[in-house]
Amino acid sequence: MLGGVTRDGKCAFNDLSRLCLKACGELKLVDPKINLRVDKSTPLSIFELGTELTKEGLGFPQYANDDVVIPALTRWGYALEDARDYSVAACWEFLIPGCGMDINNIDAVNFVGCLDTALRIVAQRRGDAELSFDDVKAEFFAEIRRRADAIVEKYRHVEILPGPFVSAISTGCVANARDLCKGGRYNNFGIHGTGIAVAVDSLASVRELVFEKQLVTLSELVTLLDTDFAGRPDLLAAAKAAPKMGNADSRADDLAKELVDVWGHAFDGKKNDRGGVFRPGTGSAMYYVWHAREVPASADGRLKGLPFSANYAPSLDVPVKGPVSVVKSFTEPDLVPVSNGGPLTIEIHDSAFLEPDGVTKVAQLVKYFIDRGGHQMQINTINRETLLDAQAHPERHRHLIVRVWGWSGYFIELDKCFQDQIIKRVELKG
Amino acid sequence: MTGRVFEIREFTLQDGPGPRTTVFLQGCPLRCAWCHNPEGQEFGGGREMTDLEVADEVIKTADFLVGSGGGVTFSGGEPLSQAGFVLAVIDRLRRAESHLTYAIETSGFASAEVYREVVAKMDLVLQDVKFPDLEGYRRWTGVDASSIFGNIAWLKDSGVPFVARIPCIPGVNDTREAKDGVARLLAGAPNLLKVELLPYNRLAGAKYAKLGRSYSPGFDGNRVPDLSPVKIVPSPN
Repeated sequence: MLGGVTRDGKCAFNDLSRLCLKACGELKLVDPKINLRVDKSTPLSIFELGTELTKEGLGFPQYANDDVVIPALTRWGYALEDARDYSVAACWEFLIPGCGMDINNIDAVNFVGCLDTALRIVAQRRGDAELSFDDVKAEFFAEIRRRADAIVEKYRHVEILPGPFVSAISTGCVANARDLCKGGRYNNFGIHGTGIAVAVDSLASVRELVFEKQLVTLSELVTLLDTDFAGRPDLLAAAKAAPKMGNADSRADDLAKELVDVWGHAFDGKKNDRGGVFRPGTGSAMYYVWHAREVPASADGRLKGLPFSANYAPSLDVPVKGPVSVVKSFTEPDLVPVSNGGPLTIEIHDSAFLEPDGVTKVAQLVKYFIDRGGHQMQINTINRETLLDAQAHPERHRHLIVRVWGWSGYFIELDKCFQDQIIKRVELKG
Repeated sequence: MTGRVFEIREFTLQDGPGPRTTVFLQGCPLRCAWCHNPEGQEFGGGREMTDLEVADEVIKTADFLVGSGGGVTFSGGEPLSQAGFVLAVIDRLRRAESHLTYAIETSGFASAEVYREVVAKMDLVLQDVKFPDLEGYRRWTGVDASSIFGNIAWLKDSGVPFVARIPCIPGVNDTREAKDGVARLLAGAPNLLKVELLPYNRLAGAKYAKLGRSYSPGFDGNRVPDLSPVKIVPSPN
């Protein structure tokens, strides 16, 4: 973790930070994962240093926005000085080194699953004629809260294996003769939220197809989800054409705002047995593949078996206007309450760096995200042709690096399902 | 007012200063043998949009464009073939956001009046220069280029900053002679920022089959064009 501020709030980006960034650009290795803390006052030149690594295709730095993360941590009860000292646990979940015993990714809620359940409940409960879109939305949000409550119950009693080494380098453990597994200064649980964009797109599609255009009833739609839209290519096309998150289109973005707001407050007032709170986030970790297997087709036109987008990103294979609209859409929600971690993840075509000033222009895009209140962002520089060639001829691409969910890896070492998911991501051309 | 647009693309990085949004206007009077956007040639194609719709689309991300020193570029097709529409869009954008910059990428094929009226509104012109002579244009693009040369001559004295873009087509205009001719044509322009040599796009033929057309450009597309630089004699003053 580079940059950010000191415990007393002064700028901590220094010559060493600069050297670390330069060294990573020369080494071109997947580790260490570089995170860069920035805020509104960070000059463009620092974003440019970071973008030099993006240009190399390393998939990092991952940017974290102090303007969002520090208030998020203090809202969850962290002391201001500790909050200013934040780092990340593994991928992007925030942690205070030396005093945190947070479990940052204890579980996850599948938003696409929540919507699927809600659609079935609503379709069964009432006749189609009496239904309104507000009923669907209310049931969807209620289902999110029910699953949040279930997680609270599920982790009532958590035992953690002792960690003598970590305890030895953590504040107070030795002095108190108490292993960190018995609790640290902070004992919060982080919860991922999977498939935000797919859920938002599906909700927008339900509104358009069932309630606005009335092309299909809700119960018919549920049947179509179970049969993968069999025999109804017209409705599948209509679902795919409905508004999508990432196009600066308020018909989708307003629903995202509501969803993120409900998720951000789903655990308000809840405590775990160590006195810690629950921190909801927008990250998916590997759940974007796992959770996708638990649900049938979704109302946005995603067929059964296709993965969700990773973390906080437009759905796979959807038409988006470009990276500026993506940034605009994904910074519409208030991200402070969902800052457990989970970066906006975008893919930029490598042609963006053809001209030398491409670095400046991509850096300006990152700065735009930060200035608009984005919490975290990571960028893959890829070329779909290269990825396909690497699947066919792995021996020619041994050093090809991609950003997977919260880490960068060698493309040819990934399982095929993770390779395919990256190939399906929306490639944004400059 | 309505115009025909074939694409509005955001975050274009090679169409002028800063990140830009590029409005590609449908329809082109030229028929360059090497055209890699044949779907943009027919005037009846694309999508009909009003000046308001185009402006609204741009305005959605105008805060980013302004904050990054970017703006809007009009390309095509040939944007000057829809000059009135371009001016109407600019007029709307100016009223909504006064700090955008404007650029146009053009072949220069338009009447002197149209060319001057539109260029006067621009912060930058990306001026195509394909040949130094009428014969090259006639043979390879199918037009009488008198107006193009007249407009380039005017541009050199206009004070509007411009970039000259030369598509380098193997065996067609990548010869020493052709490039020297273009260099002589461009010499003496204090507002010429740079000259860009654009290599022939070897995938140019890919889209023709989809349009039910054949691609037989009349030159060897597999040959690598000579991209050695053009030497421009400095302006005498």
